[in-house]
Amino acid sequence: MMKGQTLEMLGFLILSVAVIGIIIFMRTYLAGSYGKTLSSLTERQETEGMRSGLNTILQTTDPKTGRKMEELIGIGVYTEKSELDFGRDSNGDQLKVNVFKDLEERLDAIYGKGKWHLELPYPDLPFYAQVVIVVDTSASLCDDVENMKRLPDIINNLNEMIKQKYPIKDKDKDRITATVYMLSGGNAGCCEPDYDGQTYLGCSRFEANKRETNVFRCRSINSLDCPRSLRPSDSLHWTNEEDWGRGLACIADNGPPEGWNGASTKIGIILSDELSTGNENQPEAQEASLESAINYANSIDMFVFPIKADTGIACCPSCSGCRSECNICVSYNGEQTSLFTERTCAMDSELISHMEGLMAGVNPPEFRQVYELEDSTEVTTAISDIIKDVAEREVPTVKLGAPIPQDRKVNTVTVTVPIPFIGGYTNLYLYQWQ
Amino acid sequence: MKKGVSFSVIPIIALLGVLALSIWAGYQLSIGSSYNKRYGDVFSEDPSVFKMETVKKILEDGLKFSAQDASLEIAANGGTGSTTFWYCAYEDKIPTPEEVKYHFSNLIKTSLNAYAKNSNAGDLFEINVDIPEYTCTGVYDNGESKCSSRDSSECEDFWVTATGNSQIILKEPNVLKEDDSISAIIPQNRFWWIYYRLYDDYNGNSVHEQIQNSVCVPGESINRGEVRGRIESALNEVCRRYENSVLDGYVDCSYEIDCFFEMDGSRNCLNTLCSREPFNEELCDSPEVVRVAGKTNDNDVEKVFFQDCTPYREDHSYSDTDWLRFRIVLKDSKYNIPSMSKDLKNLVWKIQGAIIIDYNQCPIEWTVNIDPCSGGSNELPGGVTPEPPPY
Repeated sequence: MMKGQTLEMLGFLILSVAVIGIIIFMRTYLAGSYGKTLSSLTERQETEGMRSGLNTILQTTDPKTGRKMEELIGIGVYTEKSELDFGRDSNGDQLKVNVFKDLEERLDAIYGKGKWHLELPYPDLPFYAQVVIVVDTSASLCDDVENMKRLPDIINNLNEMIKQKYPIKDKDKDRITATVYMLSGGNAGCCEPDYDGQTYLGCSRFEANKRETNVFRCRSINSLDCPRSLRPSDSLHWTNEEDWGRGLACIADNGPPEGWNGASTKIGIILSDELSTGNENQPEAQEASLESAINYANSIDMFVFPIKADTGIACCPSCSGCRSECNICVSYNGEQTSLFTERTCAMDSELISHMEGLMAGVNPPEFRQVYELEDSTEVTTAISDIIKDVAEREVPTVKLGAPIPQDRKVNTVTVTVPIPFIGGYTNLYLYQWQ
Repeated sequence: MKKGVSFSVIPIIALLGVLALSIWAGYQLSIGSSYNKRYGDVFSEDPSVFKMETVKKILEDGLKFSAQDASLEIAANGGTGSTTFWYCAYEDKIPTPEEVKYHFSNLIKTSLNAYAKNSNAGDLFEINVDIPEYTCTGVYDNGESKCSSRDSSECEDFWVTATGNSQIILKEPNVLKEDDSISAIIPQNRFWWIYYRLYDDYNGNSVHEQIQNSVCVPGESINRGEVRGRIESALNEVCRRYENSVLDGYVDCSYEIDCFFEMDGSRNCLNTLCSREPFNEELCDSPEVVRVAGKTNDNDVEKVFFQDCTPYREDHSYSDTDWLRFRIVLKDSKYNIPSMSKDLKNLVWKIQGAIIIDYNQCPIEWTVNIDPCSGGSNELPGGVTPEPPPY
C-alpha cells in the first residue's frame, strides 16, 4: 500500500514538474519568439508606413504645374521661396504654387495635425564667388584706390580661408575671383604717380605682377563690349568716370574675364563718392543709370554693395561755409584744385539714399546697408568684409509642423532631394509621432 | 494490485501527454522562427527595392533640372554649346535640329553626371549606391509638324532620356542591381517651339538679306550717316515680324547693334570667330570654327593738298563693305524655368549675326566743304558727326 502511494505521488510530482517546465519553456521561447516577430513587424510597419506616406506626397504631381512635389521642394529650398511662379498656362491663368504650404497640408492629412515635424536645410554648397568692383575714377578717389593696392593679397587670403572651411575635393580650384573695372573718362591729375609713373586712376595703381593673376584682375571698362545703350550719352567712348550705374550694368552684361559661371555667387561692388553720373543736378540721368544697374544686376542674380567713399563731410558737417581745405582734390579744365562745395556737401546724404535705392532693388533685406567709409584706409577692409558677409550668409532651414516632443517615441525618415544647382542635393528630415 | 497499477498508469499517460505537448511546442517554435526569418527576408528586400526606386527618382529629377538648365543655356547661345552666329560674314549658318539636339543632349549629359557623381561624394546622399557615368542622353521634341504650328500648345514639353548602358548597384541593405536608364518629361518649356518657328521662318526670310536689302537699294546711293538708321529700321521690322506673325504675344523681341562702324570695313567687329564647320556628330562637341576672312583695306584719313585759298566742295563716294554685329533677343515670358540661377528664368533665344554689308551697288556719298585757309571742315548731311573709334 505504501509502495503504491509512493509511486503515485512520485508520478504526479514528475508530471507537475514536466508541466511547469513546458509552461516556462513555451513562455520563454515560443511566445517570446512570436512577440518579437510581432514587435518587429509593428515597428517596421510604422516606419514603412511613414516612409510610404512621405513617398506618396513627394511623388504626387501638382496639377497646375505638372511637376512632382519632390521637384517643387528642391526648387523651393534652392530658391529660398515657398511661392513659385512658373508663368501662365494656355488660358492665361497663373501657374503659381505655394510649395511649403501645400506640403504642410498634405502632411497634416496623412499624419495628423501636430503629429509631425519636417526640416529642409539649405544645401551646403561650397562658396564660389565672382566679384566685380566698379571704381569711380574721378580725382577724389585717388586715396581710396591707393588703399586698394592690398586687394590682390586679400583675395588670395580669402581663397585660402574658403578652402579651409569647405571640404572641397579640388583643393587647387580658386573659390573667389575679383576683377576691378576702372571707369573711363577721368583725368585725375590729383593722384600720386603710380607704378608706371601715371597720375590718373588706372590699373597701373596695382603692382605689375598683381594686376593679372588667377584670382585678381584689373581692367578698364573700355575693354568691355558694352551694348550701345549702356554707354553714357550713347557714345562709343566711355565718357563719364562717375557713371557707376551703367558701368555695373555693362559689367553684369559682359561678365568678368572668365565669364559668368552659372553656379557662382555674383557680387558687384561699387566704389564712389558721388551719385551715379555725378553730383550735378541731373536726376533723370542718375535715375536711368541706377535703373540700368538694377535691371542688369537682377538679370544675373547679383548682390550689389555700394561703398560710399569719404565725401569730406566731416570737415563741414553743417554744409554751409564749406572751405576748400576739406581737401577734396578735383580736376577741372585740366587743373587740379581742392574743392568742397556746398552742393557736394549737401549731396552726401542724397548719395546714401541713392545707394540704398540700388540695394533695395537688388538685394535681400539683410543686405541693404550701405558701407560708409570714414576714410580711405577702410576700402580694402570693406571689400573683404562684404565678401565674408556674403560667404557667411546663413540661409535658414525650412521648418514645418509641430515642435518635436521630448517625451514621445519619434519615428524619423530622411529623404535626399535634388536641387536645381547642378549636382546638388539636400536632405529632407521628417519626424513623426503618435 | 489492480488499483496500484491503475494509479501508476495515470502519471505515465500524463507524462506521454507532456512529451507530446513538448514536441508540439518545439514544432510551433520552429514555425515562429521561420515566420520571423521569412518576414525579415521580405522586409530586407522591400527597403532595397524602395531605395533603388528612390535613387532612380532622384536621378530623374536630376535629369529634369539638367534639361531645364541646359535649355536656357543652349537658347541663350543661339542653339549650340557656345555663342552661335546664325549669320556670319556672307554666310547664313542656321543650326539644324540635329545640331541643336546634339549640343543640347551633351550639356544635359554633363549636368546629369554631376548629380550621379555627387551621389557618391560625402555623407549627404543617405543611400549607399554606385551610379555609373551616363554616356548618352537623348532629347525628343514633339515633332516638327507639331512644333512648327503657330499655336504652341502641342509643343510645350519634351522628353529627355539618359543611359550609361550599365547598372545602378545598391549595396545596402541587400545588393540590388537595376538598369540605369531613366527618362523624364520637361513640362512648360517652349524651347523647341521657338526654335522650329524660327528655323522654318528662315526659309525665305534671311535677316542678313533683309538688312542688306533695307540698307542698299541697287542703283541708289546712300547719304553718309544714314546706314545705322536703316539697319535699325530693318532689325525693328524683323522683330515686329517675329512678334506678330512668327511667334506669339508672350514673346518680346528686341535687338542690339553690338558693333557697326560706317565706312570702316577694316573693323570686322569680331574678336571671336563666327563661322562653324558643317555639323558632324563626331566634331560638333567642340565645333571647330574658322576665322572669318575680314576686310583689311584701311581707309586712310583723307589728305587734301591745296593750291590756293578758294573754298570748294569735294564729292566723295564709298562703295566698299562694312561689318555689322547684331543680336536679336527673343524673351518668352509665358513660362518661368528653374535653373542654376536662384530665380526661375524666362527662356531667351538669341540670334546673333556678324555680317558684311555690301555697298557696291549703292555707294555712300557725301560732300566735304573745304576751306583751305581755315584748315578745312567736314560737314555731313543732317549735321551728323562721324563717331570716334571706341577704344
